[in-house]
Amino acid sequence: MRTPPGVSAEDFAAAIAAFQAVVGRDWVFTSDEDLEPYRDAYSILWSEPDERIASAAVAPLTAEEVQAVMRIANDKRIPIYPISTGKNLGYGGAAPVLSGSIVLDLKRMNRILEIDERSAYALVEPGVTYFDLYRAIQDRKLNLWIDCPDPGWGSVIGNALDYGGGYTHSSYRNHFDAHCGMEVVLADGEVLRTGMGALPGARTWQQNKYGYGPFVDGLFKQSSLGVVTKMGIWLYPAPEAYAAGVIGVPRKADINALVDVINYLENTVTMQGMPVFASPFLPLGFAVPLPPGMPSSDASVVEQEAYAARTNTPFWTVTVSYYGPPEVVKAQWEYTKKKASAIPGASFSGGDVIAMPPKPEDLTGMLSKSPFGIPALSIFSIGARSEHSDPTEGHITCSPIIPRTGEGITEAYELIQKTAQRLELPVTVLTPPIGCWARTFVILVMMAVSHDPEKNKRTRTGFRELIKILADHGYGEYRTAPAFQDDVMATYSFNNHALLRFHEAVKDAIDPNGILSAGRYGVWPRHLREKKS
Amino acid sequence: MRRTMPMAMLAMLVAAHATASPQRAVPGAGWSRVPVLGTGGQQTFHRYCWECHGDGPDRPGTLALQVKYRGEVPARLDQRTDLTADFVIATVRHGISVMPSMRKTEIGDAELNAIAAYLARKR
Ligand SMILES: Cc1cc2nc3c(=O)[nH]c(=O)nc-3n(C[C@H](O)[C@H](O)[C@H](O)COP(=O)(O)OP(=O)(O)OC[C@H]3O[C@@H](n4cnc5c(N)ncnc54)[C@H](O)[C@@H]3O)c2cc1C
Repeated sequence: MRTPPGVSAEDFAAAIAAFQAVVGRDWVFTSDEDLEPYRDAYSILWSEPDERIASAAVAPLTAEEVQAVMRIANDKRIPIYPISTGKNLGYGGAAPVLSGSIVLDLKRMNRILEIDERSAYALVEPGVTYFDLYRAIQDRKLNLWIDCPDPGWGSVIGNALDYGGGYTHSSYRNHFDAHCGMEVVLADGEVLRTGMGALPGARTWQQNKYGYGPFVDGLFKQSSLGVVTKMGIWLYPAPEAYAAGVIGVPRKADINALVDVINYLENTVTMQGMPVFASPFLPLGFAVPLPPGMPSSDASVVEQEAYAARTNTPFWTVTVSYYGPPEVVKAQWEYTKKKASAIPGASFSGGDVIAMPPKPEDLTGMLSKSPFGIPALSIFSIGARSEHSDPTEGHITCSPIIPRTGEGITEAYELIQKTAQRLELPVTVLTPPIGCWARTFVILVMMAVSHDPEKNKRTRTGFRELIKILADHGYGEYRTAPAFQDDVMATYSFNNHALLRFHEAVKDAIDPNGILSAGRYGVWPRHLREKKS
Repeated sequence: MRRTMPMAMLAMLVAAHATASPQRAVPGAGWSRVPVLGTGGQQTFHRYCWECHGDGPDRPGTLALQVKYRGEVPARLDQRTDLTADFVIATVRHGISVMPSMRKTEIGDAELNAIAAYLARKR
């Protein structure tokens, strides 16, 4: 039996027995067989000595049980790693960052405590998935939408805490921004509520996230400071209509003006859906068979623009979309066309107003239903066996945040393409710039994971170098797999790592025994920092 | 840079971020979108597996098995007659390719046994 680092076999056994007394024997897992599914299925350290593996898992049913578990763990100095649904694939799955930690599996806590149609919010427990919340709304015939990420089986809480993003209205698709009110169990078993929730009997816990005094919710984003046992999430009053149109521009440099127009539309909320940029000339990590005569992404701009002009192909397109009353949506598309017409040669297509809720034919052919707030798993076709690719064992993703400008896109792509080619990184997908958050783009550089340690080792080396090169150019990652969390944290180094030192000071104060999510996002408790240095 | 990603995936990726673009694909004939819920194993299968292994153009599990077996066995798991319960249980608990492993807190042993018995039934 594996024991947590620094924990004696006796203390471990005593803790396991105490956990069993709290949650019941069936919900404490210690056998290799039961712990196998707690491995990170997409681990870039698969079967290597450094793979992050749990020594046990404990699955409580209530916040009170979470408190009891934390008290025992704090007493016996047992490292604990909470997960909600544990489907953080590509970023760690259900496995802990510190090997040997006990996973606190919150999946059984799956109650939807409240859905308020008039105020458009839900209060949920960690095990509630997007599928669950969607179904509950449908079953009750509530006039509400959710915003979900592509994988519908994830946790509303887990995704928001890891700074996840979705696809619908700009006010909802930044999931951490759309949360309102948390209940948090601290490392010593103490429970607190944030925002208005600190007022006993509060009537507005899910309406006013800031409450009174400093805003502390951010301390629990991508952190190791608490176990979130309840969270409010703002929902979207079901829109009456939806429309999507495509703007095309003829020249490469037109992207600069195009992004500026989109930013204006988005920042004035004239456009609410996620803008989706595309170009046939983007250096994608994969080849679609190029149409005859089409220059590759490496060709000169002159050649590419000549081809675009000859074939009447826009160099760039952006799909813009709107949610709202039909007449408003229509007017917003008309206004968009007027605004973007300032770009010479701009072309427009689409813009049909579709009444909501979507009819089956509106969904036909849509491979992701996320823009309509409908959870699914179709995204997993990426990496699965297909006509043209072998199945992978999952992927890891380098996720740099880049400026929301056309110049930013051009520079970042050139840098990523050049670096990935030089390092021979197994890039399977390099996404167009994704605008899920209002003020920046994120580019996802997805790399295949394998069960061959040699291949994974090369990928890790290249990934680490890519992180550094991106950081040297001012691009920081927003989220990463456990194998690279220290590397990314090291790049946020202003003033001799003042931010990390601050995180460490807070960690030492809130969790002095350093038992909660040790190492997550590069923050290690004191006793492990000392060991590392 | 490796160049292996197929057209379908490009469509998927772009769709993932764009979807309801004006040029929507033509409906595939005969895809049943809404599963008919039965009881026991069938219902449990639909609840946990259908999103990937159901019927339709957007089911990654079905698509992958279609390519793997090229029609030698049905791509849909609920139409297979060669599956054993042990194999189903092992695959769910261990995962395969991009399908991750499922913990007992996600699918309990009793539910998994019901799914396995349903898929292993011989018609
Ligand atoms: C093909 C593919 C597509 C994807 N697309 C998207 C996408 O569109 N948008 C997106 O955002 N992500 C996406 N992801 C990433 C990821 O799958 C999702 O973000 C997923 O929702 C995260 O898993 P989860 O919800 O189960 O969170 P969990 O795994 O439960 O949580 C994530 C982490 O947060 C912490 N945590 C969770 N719950 C708690 C708690 N209660 N208290 C304290 N800490 C906690 C833990 O450290 C945990 O490891 C994608 C991944 C893949 C493989």
